[in-house]
Amino acid sequence: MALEGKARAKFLVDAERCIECNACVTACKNENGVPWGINRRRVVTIEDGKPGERSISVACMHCSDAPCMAVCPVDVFYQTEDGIVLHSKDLCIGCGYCFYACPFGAPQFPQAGNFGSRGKMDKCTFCAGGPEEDNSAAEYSKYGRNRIAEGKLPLCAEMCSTKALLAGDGSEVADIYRQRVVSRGFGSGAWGWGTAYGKKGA
Amino acid sequence: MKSKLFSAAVFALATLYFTPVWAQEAPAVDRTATGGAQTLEDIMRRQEQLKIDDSFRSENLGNPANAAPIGGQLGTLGGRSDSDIYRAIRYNSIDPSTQVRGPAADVLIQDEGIAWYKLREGPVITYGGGALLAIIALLAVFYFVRGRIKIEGGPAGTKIERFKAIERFGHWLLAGSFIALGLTGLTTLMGRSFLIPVMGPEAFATLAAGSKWLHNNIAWAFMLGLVLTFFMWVAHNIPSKLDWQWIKVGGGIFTSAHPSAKKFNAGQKIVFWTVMVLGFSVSLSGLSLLFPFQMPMFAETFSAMNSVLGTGFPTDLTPHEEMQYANIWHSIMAFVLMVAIIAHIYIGSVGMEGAFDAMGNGKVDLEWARQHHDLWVAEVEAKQGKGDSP
Amino acid sequence: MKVMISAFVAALVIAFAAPVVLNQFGWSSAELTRSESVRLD
Repeated sequence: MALEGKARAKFLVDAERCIECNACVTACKNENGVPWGINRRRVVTIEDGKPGERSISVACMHCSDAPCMAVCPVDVFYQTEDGIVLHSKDLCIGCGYCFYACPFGAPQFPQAGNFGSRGKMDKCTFCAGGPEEDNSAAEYSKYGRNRIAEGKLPLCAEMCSTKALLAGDGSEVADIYRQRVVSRGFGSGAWGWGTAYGKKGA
Repeated sequence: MKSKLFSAAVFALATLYFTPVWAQEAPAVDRTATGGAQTLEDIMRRQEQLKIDDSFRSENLGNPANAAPIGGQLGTLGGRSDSDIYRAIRYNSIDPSTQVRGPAADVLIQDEGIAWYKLREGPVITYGGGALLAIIALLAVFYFVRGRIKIEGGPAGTKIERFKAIERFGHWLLAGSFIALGLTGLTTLMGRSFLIPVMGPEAFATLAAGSKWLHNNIAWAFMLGLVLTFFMWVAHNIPSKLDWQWIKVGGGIFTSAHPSAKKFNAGQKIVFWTVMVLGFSVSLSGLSLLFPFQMPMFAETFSAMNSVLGTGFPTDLTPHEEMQYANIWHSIMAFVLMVAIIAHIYIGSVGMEGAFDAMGNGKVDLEWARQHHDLWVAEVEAKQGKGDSP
Repeated sequence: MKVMISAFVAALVIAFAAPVVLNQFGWSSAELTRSESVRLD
């Protein structure tokens, strides 16, 4: 890993800036070769067309104490030194429990529907691939591009035209966001952070 | 003994509600000093992972009706502050839309996953697994104390047909699939805790994939067996006054009395109705799991319960929460059923001489039948008498 | 005993037939994410 355990990888969505262009969704699909019907990232708009409208880009938040990781019956998840939550598609049995546990609806299945034929779970990897050798063909076909190993950050955030979506070391991301909130004087809701990176209560 | 089993199961279920997580009462906090916002006490309780009543946040979501007219100053900002909106997002009280198609794509945050996980890994495994071990131990003790229930005076040697081939087929269809479902279900629930340390993740993943396939598909055989046996035997399982006599002497299990019984005695009727009711419930929740997000049934059940019993179950459930409830209910029902069935297997095999024949080849010893189902034997003999005479 | 074995076999036969039959009835897994407007396949 290029971050070499010195960072705590986090996403932050600035809902005051997101314009629902869906470029993050498209960039993710393109970069990682994500199959039809799967959306590792999605944009949700609230109060669409009404006063107070906001859009939020959602994917796996790479939680500190990830519920998917806790609940998986076959224990396929692992967390890198940088806090990125990854999983092994070789071990996945497609039971869907991670989806029921996830606060953000991040896990995706190539075949939704019958519990018996869901296929292997797929989700955002923070562009960090999977357990296979970094940047190998096997890794790309199962998990998509490993940009982290190339020293790059997730493409969704890199592509974001309004820089609403930030990805990287949590402290730096938080720093940028803090400066924004101070200079504009409003909109300090770091969406999902309490749920993803706070302690999990009962 | 069946009633003891039942009370043990009820006890096990009741204890679920007294585990620390559930029993904690959130104290009433005075928030006047902060103007209704969270206090230091709230923050401290949350850090200690104690329960807090967060309705002061989850219900404080602003009022869109307070908005200035759209042409007026600040008219486009709506009637809610940023904090109101972010709290609404946090508690998923929003009106979302998204371009992405898929189940629950418009849910922004649902945080019941950890509670579901804790219930699954905690009480369900502990009490469920404990109940299985307890019933096995209880039966072992019973076996050593009471011994095998013998046919008094030895077998008569003549046989009488107790179950027709189709009845036995229905029984074994149900029984065979149930055992497969029980074992594969336990693998899914407990494999991570008990099998992965033994056999390693790769081997277990293969096993779990196979066991999941079997569990999903053999479920249809179970449901078919349930329907078959229900229609074949329901007429014989209507409770009657005779059952009360049977229960009063404890079925003669601890004494050597032989209370009168027709085709099914009260103990068997209890097993029948336990299997039917729990089997139906386990099948329904199972179907809900088989077709995720397409058969949610808990919100409606809860609202019906709330209106009848006046309880306060949540009725505004996200699709994920529906699945979590279905999953937990499925495993609790399955454990109760397994406990009952283990006792049923015991009494139908090693526990009683001559009992297995009833389902083995369908023909039981006449003396066994006279002792355990005297009125049924009389009925059969009367019918045969009629058949012979003309 | 014969009936018992045949019932076990029947349970397995049902298990193998179930996914095929479910697909016939349109309970296929692809159904849920299918959309009318855009199809690539």
